[in-house]
Amino acid sequence: MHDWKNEIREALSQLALRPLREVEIVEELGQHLEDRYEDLLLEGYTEDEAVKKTLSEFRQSEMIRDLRELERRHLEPVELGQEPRSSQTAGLWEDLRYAFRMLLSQFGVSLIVIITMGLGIGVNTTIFSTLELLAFRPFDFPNQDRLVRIFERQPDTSVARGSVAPGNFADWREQNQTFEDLVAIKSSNFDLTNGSQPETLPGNFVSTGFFNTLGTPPALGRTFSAEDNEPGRSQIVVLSDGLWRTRFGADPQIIGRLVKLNEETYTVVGVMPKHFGYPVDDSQLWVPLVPDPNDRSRREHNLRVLGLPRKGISLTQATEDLNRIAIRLQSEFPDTNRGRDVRVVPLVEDATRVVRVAVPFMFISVLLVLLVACANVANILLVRAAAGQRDIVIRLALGASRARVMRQLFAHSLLLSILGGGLGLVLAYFGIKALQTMPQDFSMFIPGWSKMGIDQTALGFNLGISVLTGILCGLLPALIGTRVEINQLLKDDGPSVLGKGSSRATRWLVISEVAFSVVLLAGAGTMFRSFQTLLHTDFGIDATNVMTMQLSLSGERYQAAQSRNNFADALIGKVSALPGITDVGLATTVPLGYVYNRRQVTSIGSTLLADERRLSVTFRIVTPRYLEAIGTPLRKGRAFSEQDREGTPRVALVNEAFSKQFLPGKQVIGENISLNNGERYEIVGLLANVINEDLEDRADAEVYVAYAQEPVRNIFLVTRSDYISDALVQSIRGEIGAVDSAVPVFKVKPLQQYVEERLSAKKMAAYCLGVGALIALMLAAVGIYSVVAYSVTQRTHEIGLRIALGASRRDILRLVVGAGLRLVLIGGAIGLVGALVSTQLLSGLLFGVSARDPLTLAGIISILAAVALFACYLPARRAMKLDPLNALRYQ
Amino acid sequence: MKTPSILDREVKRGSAEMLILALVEDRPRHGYEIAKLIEQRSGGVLQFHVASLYPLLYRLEKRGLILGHWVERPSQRRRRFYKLTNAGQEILKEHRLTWKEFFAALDRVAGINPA
Repeated sequence: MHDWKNEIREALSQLALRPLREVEIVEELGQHLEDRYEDLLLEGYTEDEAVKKTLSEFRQSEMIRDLRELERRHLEPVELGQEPRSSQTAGLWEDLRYAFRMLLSQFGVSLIVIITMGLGIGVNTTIFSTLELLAFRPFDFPNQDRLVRIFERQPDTSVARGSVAPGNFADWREQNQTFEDLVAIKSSNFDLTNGSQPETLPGNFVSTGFFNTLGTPPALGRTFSAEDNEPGRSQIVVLSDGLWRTRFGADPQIIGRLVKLNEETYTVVGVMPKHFGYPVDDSQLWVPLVPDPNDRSRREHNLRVLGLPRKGISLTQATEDLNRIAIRLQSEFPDTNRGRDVRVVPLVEDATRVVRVAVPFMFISVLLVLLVACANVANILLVRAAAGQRDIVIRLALGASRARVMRQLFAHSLLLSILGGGLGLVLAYFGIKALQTMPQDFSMFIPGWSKMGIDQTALGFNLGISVLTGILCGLLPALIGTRVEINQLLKDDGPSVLGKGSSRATRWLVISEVAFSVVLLAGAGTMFRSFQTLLHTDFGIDATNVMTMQLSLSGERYQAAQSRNNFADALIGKVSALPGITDVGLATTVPLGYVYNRRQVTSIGSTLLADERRLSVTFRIVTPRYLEAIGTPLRKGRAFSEQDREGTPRVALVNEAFSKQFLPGKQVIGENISLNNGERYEIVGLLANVINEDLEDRADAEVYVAYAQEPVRNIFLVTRSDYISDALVQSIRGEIGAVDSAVPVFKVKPLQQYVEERLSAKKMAAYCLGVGALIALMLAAVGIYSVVAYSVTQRTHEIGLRIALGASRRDILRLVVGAGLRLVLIGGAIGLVGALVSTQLLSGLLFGVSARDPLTLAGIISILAAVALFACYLPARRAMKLDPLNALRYQ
Repeated sequence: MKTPSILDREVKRGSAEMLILALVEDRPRHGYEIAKLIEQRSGGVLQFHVASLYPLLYRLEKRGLILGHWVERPSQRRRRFYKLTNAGQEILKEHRLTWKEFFAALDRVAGINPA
């Protein structure tokens, strides 16, 4: 039979019609010629004659002339043959317009691609920026990469990060050969009196070389120099930017002004730039730490030491140099220095040691979210490409240059990627903003938090990967399309070219998306369970309706111990009388209160402990009703009473951890202990363990002694009440003022808030992982849906046939959902293996949950199954509703 | 039978539109059917071939006078059927009136009665 369509196609080829339009015309005219030919045969023509006559009636030139006039407006997207070079640039604008039209014509798909990219880039950049800052860039000191922290180490007692004794520091500083300078820091609270209202501020005594060692110049005035070590010259202070602004109204004339600190007069010599804060972000002021040349004390370890090694000196060389001195000191001062050597750690590494535990898993999570997002973009674009490939191939067949088709597809992918990237940038911006609203009191203990911003490298990396994925997947159909046999495709019902290859690719993409999501869900789930467990464990305190505030009994007035006891008695009496208050206590430290006191146990019973065996314990001085106020249960014996006063035998309470460590298997009550303040105490009560520094660590050995026997200046007032209200806090402050209006009150905070602050780092980790996992799950669901929906479209004919042959709706449901679930099962299995391996990385962050928690894994499998079923069900429902007649006709 | 080619072209140019509109007035028809009907009903005087018929159909469709759509029937190839739109109906009415007046004028002058 004659190929009429080919004749028509050839004739039309000079018109460069829109491919689909051309296909229609070819079909319609082809049928006309075929009908005519058959009629001619019926009229008695021979086959040859019939062909000849039919062709003679098909007057091409006439038709082409008419059609050209008529169809002219459809010409734009297709260019014929090779284009002249000069039109290449002019074509770019056309390409972009074409891309925009394509984007609008497939609005739904485009939107999904843009949102997927945006979420992937935005979420990833936020998490990555946070991690990068927290784990690697906490400071902004010019010398931060060279700076080291130097600790005293006691290998025998596993003390690895010990503070330094002034005597040892002085010897290291004078005798070392590897450091430009060693500086010491001693943090302390300072009472600033400026006008009538006293205020207690966190500040530091620092060696005069401190600022030069860090390398940060002041914003105003000067910092310290060696001359400031001279007697009489050391009453000077450098202020933080924050303090200068809040307390001194950013006065540009501040330099030379006199201020009162701890009732002594200091001269302001400098102001540091914004964001400068060391050793903690909220350090408000620095005064010179002037060493007493005769002070070679080695018993009190109270200095934080930083060092700047000379250029070219390695960490090992510096450590060996200091250890040479330390070993000599060990033999010279065996009493105090036996078993003590030196540990040198890069400053940044030391500052970020807590955060770094979380880093490996966090980075994996970030990478997985990005991979899932990319897989999804690839998936959607490939599915869509498979659907649109005929169009491309027809255009190629009609003579459009491959370069031109590629350029148009490239422009389209590029446009999608740019929009996705833009959305990502916006999301990252708001993500960081959201993180910055974390509580200040929490963030001040994370070095560098105040400098949080979008990390350029992270953003660039994410943008790069996503854009590359978008463009590659957008170009793929053109790359494949140009390799195929064009004639075959031009047959009306030619098979899908991308068909096999691309659907295999999309299936694998879905499998990997599911696998990645499982890993992320497992991580987030485990973190979440750990967090839940932590919330429901016994902290040894009851934080409900407990208020705490810090007081400082400074100055001459409280020189005598009796005056401090009088103040305590009067205060407790007045505050207890307030309505609503049930218990009032004073303590030198409260659990989680960021203030720590430690003492060494020097003897137990009659056993004197050798120096190197003296372990330090948490030490807390409290008034009788402190235990009720804070909610720590008494296990055995008695609490302190009004009778435990000055002049009566010293008494102490210890906790269960202490008894386990120092008095295993012994009767605790009635035992005697000595501490390194030289006092001997009788243990009268056994207390429950409480958390102090870390929520996870409750095995801290503790000794409590009676405030009346050792009244100190810096105290917490702890009150338990029926409720907490501003009015109540005001009346408590009023009573403090009534006892002594000159006593500064600061850090007024509910105990619950201290707990929350400690939880916030874990909350952040769980939150970041959770958001990442949710987004991955959502994207995986979209991926499953798009692949299953596409396969339903592809198999419409087959499904129609099945229905026509008597398949029930349930059979169809099983067919479609089964195909989708098979992918989910494979992905889920791979993901589980990955999850078992990768959650091990989290074990350092987990509390009370195994990294391979079966309950969590079971949970995520159910979530995944539910989501996957839903994603498969939607297209399956459409398949079930197919009208078999329509489906059979579908091509 | 003689087929004067000049007449053929002239008639088509002037009247083809009306012929097509009239043929799809009662029911939708496909292109080949239209061509065949014109030839049959004109006793072979008027002939439409592929080259002239389809550009005209497409033009009419573009002007919104007819509407083409693909129809599939069991055991048949799918075909494109054209039906008259409301706008086409109006134009057809106008055409008929014009031609009627034209033939009336010819008749008055030269004694030609088309009926």
